[in-house]
Amino acid sequence: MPLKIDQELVLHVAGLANLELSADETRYYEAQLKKVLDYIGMLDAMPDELGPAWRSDTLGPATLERPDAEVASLDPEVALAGAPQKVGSAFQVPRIIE
Amino acid sequence: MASPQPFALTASAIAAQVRAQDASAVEICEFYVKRTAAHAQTLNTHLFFDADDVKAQARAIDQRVRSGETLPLAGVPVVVKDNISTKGVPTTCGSKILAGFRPPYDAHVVERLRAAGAVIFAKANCDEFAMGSSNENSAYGVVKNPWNINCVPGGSSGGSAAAVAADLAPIALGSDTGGSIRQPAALCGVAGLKPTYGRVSRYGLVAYGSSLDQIGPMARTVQDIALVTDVISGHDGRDSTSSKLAATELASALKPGESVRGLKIGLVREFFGEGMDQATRAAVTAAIETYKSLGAVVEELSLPALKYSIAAYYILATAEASANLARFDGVRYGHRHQEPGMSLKSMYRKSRSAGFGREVKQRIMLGTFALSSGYYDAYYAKANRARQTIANDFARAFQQVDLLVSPTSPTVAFKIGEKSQDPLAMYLADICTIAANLAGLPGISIPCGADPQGLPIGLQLMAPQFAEEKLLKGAYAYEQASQWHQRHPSL
Repeated sequence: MPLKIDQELVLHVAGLANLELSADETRYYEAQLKKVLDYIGMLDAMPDELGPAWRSDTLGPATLERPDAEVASLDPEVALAGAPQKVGSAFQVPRIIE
Repeated sequence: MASPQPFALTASAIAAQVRAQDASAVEICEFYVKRTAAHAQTLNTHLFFDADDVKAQARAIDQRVRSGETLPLAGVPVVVKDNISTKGVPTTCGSKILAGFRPPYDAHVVERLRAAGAVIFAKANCDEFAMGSSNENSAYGVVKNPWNINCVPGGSSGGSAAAVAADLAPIALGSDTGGSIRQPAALCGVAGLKPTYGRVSRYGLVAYGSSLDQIGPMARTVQDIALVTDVISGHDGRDSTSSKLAATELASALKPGESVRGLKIGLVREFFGEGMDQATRAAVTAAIETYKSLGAVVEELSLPALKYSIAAYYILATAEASANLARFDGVRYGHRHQEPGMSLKSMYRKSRSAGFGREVKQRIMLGTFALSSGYYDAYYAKANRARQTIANDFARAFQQVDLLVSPTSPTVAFKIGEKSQDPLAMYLADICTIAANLAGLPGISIPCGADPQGLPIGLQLMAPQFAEEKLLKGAYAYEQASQWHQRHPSL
């Protein structure tokens, strides 16, 4: 698993995760991700007994589905009670269309 | 009250007294309110506690008892980890991003507890979003171990474990994604059960790693663990992974004096490796000797894939966390960064960056990386294969034995600050517990000793999926043959 963890990659990942990092944080996470991913690299050495046809998404318990029935939902005022900003019966966000 | 000190009582005894009207729920709660007022601040166990609300709940329960309701947890105070939703009661997950958030609904387990006559007593401090093994990642300060306040209580359910150990409540709920019930239970000297994945509904549990998370009880005795598990187990259609397999009643299945002669217990060689302290090795070895003296058959086993469990976990759990925690964006609840003329993207980023703590950001980034283009196959897909390989190892082991035994933690509680600057060292503290989550197995930690300084040591037992009855019977047999569960810290 040849992998180069540098500040550019850390900032790219932070962007994907909707996080902003200070310069100190970027250095900290660069060091931490290197250390943790170096440890995780041990997975490369794991003997594989599963074979090439094995897929994780075809095993495990079947996901049960709820009956397709109408149920009561939260009242708008209850759903909005924790909103940092609201307008009428909606969550308010900054302008999206310039 | 026709009892000795309530803290000498188990939840089972409290409920029996309240049902018989030998004691009232109000009297029981008054005792725990006083004890909480005296010790919760020093230990930093509680993030929310309202004595008036506790007394109001207790009065209502006494009324239900007088009206003839038979309540399995009548008047039993329960401390609930702060990542479990409680309607109208602050639920912060130990994070600044949810400061002041009051959920509009109760978690399934909280509904069940209320219906069973329990008092939802307080919300327990925890590592932020359940990410940690020491409770040092809480935005609201570290919880202190009641056995030595310079030591961590373990995590992430550290407040729950410390509250039970300090007799601030007879029962607490925790959640366990990689050991977060069992490891703090061990470090605080109480019992803690992670049920089989799917046994207890996750509805209302704020998600960390959804395929691994499970709610479970912490208590002083195995009998109390059984009593609470009976209340919170069972199918719930609001959790799509909730099992429809009927739950067997555990509390009535535990019979004092029932023999474990012939029970086959596997000693997992990989859990007795480097990094285990001497006192832990000695205590666990002595516990295994106790099982042998009770007639159990102990044999050594190897599960070679276990050495990959931490590596696999920190890819899978963080990948799931990166998706689960994307919902905290300053729109519907929680902290929102305010700045005139700010774009939506900037609002998301600044809100999350200010609201999440250091370890949570690290895990979100690790998970985002593992799922990102170009790295998915090398990390996430490989970790999934490791997970299945580990589950296969367990399946083979359970063809040979009934239960598996190990230490819960390789060491006793460590000093506050000792590992907080080295997350990888902290991750390794979960070496004995993580594999049960990867394989969806039930596991329990029970007290089995103490180091020379008196710090508790925990014994872990694991069983096949949905074999909670076998697991608890095994734990109960040891508990009856020992006195470690009767120790209380001096406060």
